[in-house]
Amino acid sequence: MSNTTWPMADATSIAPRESDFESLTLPHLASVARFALSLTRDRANADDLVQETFLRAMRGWHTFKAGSDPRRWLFAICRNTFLRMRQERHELVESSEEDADALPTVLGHVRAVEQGLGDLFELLDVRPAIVAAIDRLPEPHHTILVLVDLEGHSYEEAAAVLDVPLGTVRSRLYRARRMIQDALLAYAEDAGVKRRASEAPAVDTVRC
Amino acid sequence: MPTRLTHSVPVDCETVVRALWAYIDRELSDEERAAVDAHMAECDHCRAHNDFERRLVQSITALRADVREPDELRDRVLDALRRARTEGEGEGEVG
Repeated sequence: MSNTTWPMADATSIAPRESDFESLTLPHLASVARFALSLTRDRANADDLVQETFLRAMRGWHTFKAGSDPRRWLFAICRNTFLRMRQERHELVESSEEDADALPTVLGHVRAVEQGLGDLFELLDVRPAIVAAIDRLPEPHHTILVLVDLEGHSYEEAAAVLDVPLGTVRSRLYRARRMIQDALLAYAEDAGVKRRASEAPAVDTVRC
Repeated sequence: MPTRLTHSVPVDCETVVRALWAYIDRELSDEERAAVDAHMAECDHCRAHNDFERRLVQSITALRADVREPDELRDRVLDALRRARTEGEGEGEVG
């Protein structure tokens, strides 16, 4: 998403200066820490992962192409380090083709309006529900959501960090958002946020 | 069956809705975006869907401000880097 051009170390060489390592990588420490926490789900393990990530980055600094995005590079190292440090458990929710686009989520909006929940963003502080819903997301959807919606990576950048196809990024992200929306609607319903269906503006099904 | 997004051919609601996330995330081409904009200008239902889902994404991205750099973690990483340099760890596998 960022078009920032990173400082070139040397006009005649693509190798970065060793002295630039900390200045170019440490500003991303907080983001890497959050990403590491999304992978490990445990603060202590996340801190270990962050430390190992920066050590590996320092050792491999000569491979970093000056002018490229150090944050994306760090995220890729973090993920690969995580996969090496831990055996990946297959506690995954498989993305189905039905989340290849926004249609399933929009149908959720249609149902919400029918239930009088269409104005929930105006009627509720949704932040606690959003935080809780994100925390409950299963992998790999949690990591994708963190990368795109919280860290601001584009679909393409997230695909590069995770080494997965673009279509996989889309389906996992859209499924994550649908799960968050479902949780938010349940929260709103529990909070008693409902207008009578007759008061709600009509929103038809997906058809002109 | 959803039609292809193109500004020269009016698109239906299903096509626009299916492209909604990509539209909100600015992942569509200029031509595709223009086609969605043209449809939204005329369709209250799709505009309502867009408003709601955009609010959902904004509620999520609002949490970006929650990024905090743990002071202790920064110090820990700096100490580890300095120890590695002192111990003479050279170039190696990146990971």
